[in-house]
Amino acid sequence: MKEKELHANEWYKMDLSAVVYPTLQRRDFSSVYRLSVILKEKVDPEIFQKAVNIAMKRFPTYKVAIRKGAFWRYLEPNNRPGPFVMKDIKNPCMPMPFKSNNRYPVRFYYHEKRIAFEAHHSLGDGTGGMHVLQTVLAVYLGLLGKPVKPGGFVLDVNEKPDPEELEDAYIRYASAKVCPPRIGEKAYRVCGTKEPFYTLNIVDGIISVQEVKKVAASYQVTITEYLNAVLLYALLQKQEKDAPYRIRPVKIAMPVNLRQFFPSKTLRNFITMVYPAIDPRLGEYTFEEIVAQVHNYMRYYINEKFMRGDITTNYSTRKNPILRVVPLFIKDIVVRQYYSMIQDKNSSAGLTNMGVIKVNDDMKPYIERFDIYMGQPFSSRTNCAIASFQDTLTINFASSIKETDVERFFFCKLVKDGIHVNIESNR
Amino acid sequence: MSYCVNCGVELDTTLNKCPLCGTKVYHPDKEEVASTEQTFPRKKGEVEKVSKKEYIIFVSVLFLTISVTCALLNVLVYNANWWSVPVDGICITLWIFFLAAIFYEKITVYGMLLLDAIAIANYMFMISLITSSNLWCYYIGLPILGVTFVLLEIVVFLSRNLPSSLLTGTLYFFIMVAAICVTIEAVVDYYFRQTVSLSWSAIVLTVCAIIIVFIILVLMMGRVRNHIRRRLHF
Repeated sequence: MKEKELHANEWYKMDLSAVVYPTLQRRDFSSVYRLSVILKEKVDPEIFQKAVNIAMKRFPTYKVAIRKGAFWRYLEPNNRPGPFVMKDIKNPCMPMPFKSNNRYPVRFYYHEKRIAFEAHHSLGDGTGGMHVLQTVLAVYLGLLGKPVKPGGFVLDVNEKPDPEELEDAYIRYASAKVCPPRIGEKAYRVCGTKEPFYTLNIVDGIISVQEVKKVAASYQVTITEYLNAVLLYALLQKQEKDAPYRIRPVKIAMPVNLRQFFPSKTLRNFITMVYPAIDPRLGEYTFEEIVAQVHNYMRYYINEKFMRGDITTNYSTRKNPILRVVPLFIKDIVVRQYYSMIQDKNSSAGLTNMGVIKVNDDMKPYIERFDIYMGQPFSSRTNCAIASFQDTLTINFASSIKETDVERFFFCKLVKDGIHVNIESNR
Repeated sequence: MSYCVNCGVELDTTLNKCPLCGTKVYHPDKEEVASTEQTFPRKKGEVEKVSKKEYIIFVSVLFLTISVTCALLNVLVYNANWWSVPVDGICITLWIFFLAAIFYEKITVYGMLLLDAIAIANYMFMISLITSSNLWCYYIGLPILGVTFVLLEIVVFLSRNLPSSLLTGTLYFFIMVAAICVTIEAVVDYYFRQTVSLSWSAIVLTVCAIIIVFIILVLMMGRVRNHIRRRLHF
């Protein structure tokens, strides 16, 4: 009882990235991402529900409700019944009003052999979400008589959470002596016809890791750099097709996992954004030139020093005393305006690459592949997410527009480069 | 196994057309190889509706309490004049504003503007009940409110259906300023002198007309717009 009361008194401040996501909440938009795993056998919903009930206790920052304070939002432990597993739907990542679903900003779905986990970005990033998904999966397999040892993304559900898992890791590493300014320029925006409410168009491309690795190696770049270059190439073609009044640079918003530079076990957000770009106003780029540009950009920007500077800039805004005492509803208006007028126009598409998903050897025989969806885009554009497991690399496009030009240009380029692409879609 | 003849990608067995280009899949043996297992569910999900009943009751009871207590205080204690009438008017106006905000999902922006106009009209009418004459409400207040409401509806319609920018916003602003100033002077003149003769509003109208013509020219001529942007950048 005492422990329960103690738990009820806990609350968590939103981390540095998380404060932005709830302010962007609209009736038809929430910052929700989805991680899903396809198993080799059909999912048993009853056992899945039991696994969720057991595993969620291990994640106190995910078993929460998002509440409003006078100056900031915060996370409050949620002891209401749930979250309950549901049958999967055609339109994943649908808006997540904070008062619905017993106030849980997470959802669990099942469909045939698929288990899917959706979370509001305020709770954590893809790495944190992957810990939840794989731990639930490990408990599920354990209940089916296939025990999985903790390790990697699988956490021990009998252990208490490590305080480091709950920390706002940004604060620990925001120690640069200067706050580098953010240079932003309006990027090309995909012109598309908006789909009606409750529609998320998905196009999944499934390719072989070995094949794409060979092609990327022929350009002397990594898989991420190659796929980034292909997306930029597709966006350039799309801009050319649209023939807008004013040509703009084509930019990709790409989250970088900061855990690779700054050691932290945090399950909350610990990412920053980089923006590889091509400016067609400077002249026509060949694909080889795009690849070289992306390769050099990544080598130059994605390092510990630049990332630390970026974190410090973000943190300095948050700790500004004037900003802190402004009431939440005013912050919401200002941040929403800033995001829709500047930040959202700063990129043409989003691309996230979770890379090779590490899975315990005990669990590998039961898994077919992983899928990741960045969720509904804030404006009419396309988001792309990439993950690989063993020899299967999945490229998941999600958009709320009717046109599929970007996806088509992207996959056609892969086919031209000799990569075999298998397409799945909910269209 | 089917391939799109246009894109060259392999298509999932459940697909009848290529999701990238829309080309129909032709496979002579499709029926035989078609899988019964659906890759994606067919049913669409909908967000759970959050009940707003408690808010509506809370807001309604709050305003009703203020309204009734003030009316009782007015009748029983401070009964020199009908001071509670404008207080009741404020309560009704705010109640309409709050309800419109609560039901914003079901009401269009045009409907919201109409509700706001009704709320303000109601408030003016209630104030007119405690003034010596209520003619000012019918001959000055309501016409100005009506013109402002119609102009706002038009501006909202245009900004939602035409490309909007800072320049178009400025254009709408000056058109509204000109129209409202002319309306104010016209209705005030008519109320006091039963004739309409524009004086100060004619100056506002002239200045606004110059600005409006200038903005329309800038909007129509891209070259001029770029030139101005270059000269005035900061």
